[in-house]
Amino acid sequence: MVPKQLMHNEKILAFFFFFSLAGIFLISLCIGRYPVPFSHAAGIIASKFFSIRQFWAEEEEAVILFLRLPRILLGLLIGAGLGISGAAFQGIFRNPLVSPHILGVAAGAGFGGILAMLVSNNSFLVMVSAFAFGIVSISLTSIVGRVRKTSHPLALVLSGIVVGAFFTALISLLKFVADPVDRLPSIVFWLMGNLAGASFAKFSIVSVPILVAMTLLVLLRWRINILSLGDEEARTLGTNPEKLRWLIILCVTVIVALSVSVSGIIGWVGLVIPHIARFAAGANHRILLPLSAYMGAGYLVIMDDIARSLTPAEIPLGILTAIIGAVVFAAVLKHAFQKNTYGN
Amino acid sequence: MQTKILILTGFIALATAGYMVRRHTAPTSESAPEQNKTIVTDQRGKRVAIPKNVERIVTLPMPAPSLLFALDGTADRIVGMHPSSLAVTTEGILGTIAPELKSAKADFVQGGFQPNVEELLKLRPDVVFQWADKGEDILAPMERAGIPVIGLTYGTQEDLEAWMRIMGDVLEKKERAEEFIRFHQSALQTIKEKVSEIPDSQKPKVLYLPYGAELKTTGSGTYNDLYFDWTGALNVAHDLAGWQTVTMEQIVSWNPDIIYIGNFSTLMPEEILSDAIDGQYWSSISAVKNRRVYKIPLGAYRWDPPNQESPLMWQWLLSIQHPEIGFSGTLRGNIRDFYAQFYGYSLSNGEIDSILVCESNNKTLPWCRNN
Repeated sequence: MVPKQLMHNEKILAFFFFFSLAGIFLISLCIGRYPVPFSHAAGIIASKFFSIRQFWAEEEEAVILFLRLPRILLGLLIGAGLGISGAAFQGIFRNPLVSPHILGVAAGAGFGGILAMLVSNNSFLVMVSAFAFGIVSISLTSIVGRVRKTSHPLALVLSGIVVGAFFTALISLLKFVADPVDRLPSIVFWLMGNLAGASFAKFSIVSVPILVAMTLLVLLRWRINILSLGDEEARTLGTNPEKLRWLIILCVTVIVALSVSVSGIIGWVGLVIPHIARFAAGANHRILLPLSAYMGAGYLVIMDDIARSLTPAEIPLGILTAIIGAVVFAAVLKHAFQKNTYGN
Repeated sequence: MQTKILILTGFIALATAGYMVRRHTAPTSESAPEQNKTIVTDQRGKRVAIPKNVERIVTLPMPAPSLLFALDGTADRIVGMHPSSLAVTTEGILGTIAPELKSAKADFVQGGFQPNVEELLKLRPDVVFQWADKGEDILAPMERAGIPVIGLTYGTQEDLEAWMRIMGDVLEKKERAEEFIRFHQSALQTIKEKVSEIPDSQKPKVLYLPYGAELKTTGSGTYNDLYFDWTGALNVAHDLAGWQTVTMEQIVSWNPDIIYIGNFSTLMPEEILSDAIDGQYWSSISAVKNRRVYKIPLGAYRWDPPNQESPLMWQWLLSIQHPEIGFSGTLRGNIRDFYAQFYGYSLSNGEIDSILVCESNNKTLPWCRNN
């Protein structure tokens, strides 16, 4: 890792993470079950910028450009989105146990996706339905969590858990009635989260809204610091905590619903990454948010590299993020407890 | 405040949805007919360009390898298949008839139908067969990698005949495919004629258990429901749609006359006949009292789903449900003839016994007696 004194020099930190992400990106392009020599991979990538005479096979170019590249791009985008969303939610709800899925959006979007999978094969319809039900679930959460014209953070979290449980039950119902030979395997695989269906079309559909929402979160990172002090303090500092909180919730909703719509429900990234970022750089959201995005992106791409290249068959990504995430998190947590550095 | 939030949410939703619709352009990259390519129209209605003289085939639909073998007369061109296809090949007679099939790769996919495309590419397939009705995401990545993918849909006898026609086109064995289709159609016609006179009151009530003790069964809209109807039986689950889980109480109240145990599970009739399954209660059921619980045969493929041996399955069902109806040739003889005609393989008596699961099926039935 980075030496401690550098952690507080933001420019160096940003530089370090930008280049390590670029490194992960390039290495990931060269990893996979289909053997592509490094020189060929480099040539294929370089040929997009310079004119190089082709010295690689057609299949190799298809593997790099149409199988690996969209997956890696989507992995970077979704990992960054989930990481930053988790950091923002843990800040505004002042609760380290919160993940971006806490308000029921992921369960709602998951239900929407499965519903569409049961009636159609069209992956675009699956995306639209997942996104729509993500919005439906956040609306339900806001209605349930509203007490005397305000939404207390705790009330929101609780109603989010209720809405999430409701949609999770509906997901179980759909799985139960789904044709076990015909539909169920695809549904189960999709629910566990994966990037196997990644394509440029999907990336181009979700990238702009997710990037806009992420930019908004980054711009609001100062104010998340204020919100994390509590509503009273925020009010005395001249901020309307209610409005601000909703703006952030909406950004996270867009990110989570769109992530689920293209990759199913990928757990753990949004919960674990902000903690690891906090151990590394402290609880200041000004640094924590971008750092969580960088780390989330890197983490998810590395996990997806493992998912698609460890065994001949594809491993569902959500399983890996949870298994490896739990181990990594436990190690980091143990380390932090021993050094007593948690949260400062 | 709340209304504002909802309005804002709605606005964002609409804006995003609108954006998504605008960005979505249906890919219309239909490959132009090239030289040395054959155009095959699959069950998505898509025109797929495949090389002439296909040499390397990979299949994901489970019944595909045995069907391709039946049409081709050899399994040399099949280089990869679903693990479940490989398992059934090894368990059943197909591995004996076509041992080369057992060396096909099956490690590029697990459980579901999402292959690891890079692993699949290593098999250098000329064409891949895949289900067309389980979502685009299991087809599109292979197509993006430049592999010609043929989509198959599951369900009816028409679908099965369409598989044969498409595979005949791919293998350039059109005549052979038509021969199979004619065989199916004439067998079905004969059976329907024989059964048409039987009044509903004389049709036995049957229960199909595809997953053994799981108590799942199939209702209307499934291939099983269709062939029970063709062979003069009443599917107790006919009023349910598709695949359903039912309770033991429901089965007791249906009181089926005959129970068929599918080949997707390892459950054997003995376990139901002796009421040995914990938490289930079979002894009051008519089928159990009369010892009419049968394991569905396992030929070159499982006989319960649609497959090339389905006409034999219909005769098997008919001889259980309506033994009074005469049939041209005995079941054993017809199985022997079918294997000789279509696979060029002469079955021993022991092999026919194992196809018909005579060891577990009630030994008093005529087709297991003379061995």
